[in-house]
Amino acid sequence: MRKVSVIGIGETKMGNYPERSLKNLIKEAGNSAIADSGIEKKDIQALFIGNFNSSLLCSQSLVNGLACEVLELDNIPSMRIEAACASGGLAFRQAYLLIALGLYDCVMVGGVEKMTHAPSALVTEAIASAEDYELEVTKGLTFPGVFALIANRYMEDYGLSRRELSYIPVQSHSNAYLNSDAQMKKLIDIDKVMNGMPVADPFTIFDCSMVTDGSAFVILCAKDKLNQFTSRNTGVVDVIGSGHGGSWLSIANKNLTSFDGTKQAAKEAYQMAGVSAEVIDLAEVHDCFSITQIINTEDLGFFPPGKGGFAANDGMTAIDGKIPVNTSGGLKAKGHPIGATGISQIFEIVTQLRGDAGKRQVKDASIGLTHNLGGAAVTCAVHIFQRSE
Amino acid sequence: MGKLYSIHSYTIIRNTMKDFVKDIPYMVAIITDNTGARKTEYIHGYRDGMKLSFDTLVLQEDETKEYYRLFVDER
Repeated sequence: MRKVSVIGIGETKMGNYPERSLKNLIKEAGNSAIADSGIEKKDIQALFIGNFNSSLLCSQSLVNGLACEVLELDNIPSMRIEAACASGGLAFRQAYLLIALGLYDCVMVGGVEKMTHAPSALVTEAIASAEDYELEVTKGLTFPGVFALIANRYMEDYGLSRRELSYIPVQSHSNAYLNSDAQMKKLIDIDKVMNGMPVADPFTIFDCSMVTDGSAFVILCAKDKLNQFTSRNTGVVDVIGSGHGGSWLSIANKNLTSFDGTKQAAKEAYQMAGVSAEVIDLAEVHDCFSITQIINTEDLGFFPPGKGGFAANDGMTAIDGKIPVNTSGGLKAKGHPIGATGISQIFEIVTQLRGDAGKRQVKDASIGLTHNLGGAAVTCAVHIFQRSE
Repeated sequence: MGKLYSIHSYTIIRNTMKDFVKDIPYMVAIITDNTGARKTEYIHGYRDGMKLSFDTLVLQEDETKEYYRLFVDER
């Protein structure tokens, strides 16, 4: 397989933009990525875009064609990837694989989501479509409820307290406070988390990721063709590992305290990269809920089972910790524009590996990881990136 | 007597989809029968202030009906 590099990144600020259209969001993020890459639009050979809910919430399908039109990319193959919250990460994987296999040399991949204009009950139903409708939704189980079931089982098994769980969003808000693209830039404390509006026990509103509008794009290029497409000779980041894992849709008979999809995807990505968890300098980890980050940091190999929450409370996931996690603020506080989230995570890792992250910069960051989860660990993408020498 | 289930995990839903708003707060649990098979069910009978734990049992009085409620042994 050929080596593949990320040569351009772009994203909107994440936020609450009921007045902005899908087109408007795509145009800003997409053109920003193209400008950052130094390529010309005619060089883009294909486009992939992650999107979860525009058919329902925006009456718009085929956002891939919409993106090509808005970005003036004429007569190229394009595809929308829907994998719930992992749509962006898996769109990236498709683009990566097709370049690595030699089918294309230069591909644009992104994501977009627009949700805040819709009534909250409709958004709740739309997000619940990532569950098993017959076995779960008809029983009144919301999507936060799915992860609340996971949290209660985990806390029972490992003795994590409600107060210790609350530290996860506190850290996310602290990191997002340093990120100009973040939706939520308010510092919070543990008491604020614990006394927030109840959603699904044990979760309050502060355990849950945001409803977000936003878009993000990256440009991928075959490493051996970089000189042909771009004059950029700094800020290139190589994709050194890609993994995809998954499991059943319904949760009742799955392991609630460890996600097989994460473990499979991580194993594949680590093997491809020829590295282990110990060499990862920082990671953007899917934190749709506070418990999700904890379990994923264990399944990615950063901490032993049952220790992820305690490790975060001990400062090990802080920007200056052993393994900085979600320096962007994560889904919790940077925002969760569902179809774009996986690409937004890559935006942060590339920014960090370029040394452009400002006050949230991880010192000497060389290798970074993104982890993007869909549904209740139904599908998962893991990618590993290295600063190009 | 019906069929008893143990609780594998549970949550109390307090913000929900429109079809269930009238029920808030309500309980959803993953319950396990004596074969070890698990399923997700709406559990009737929850009220705020009740003491719940992983030792709480769930009763399906009529196995032909999808109706599950918290079991309180009153013997």
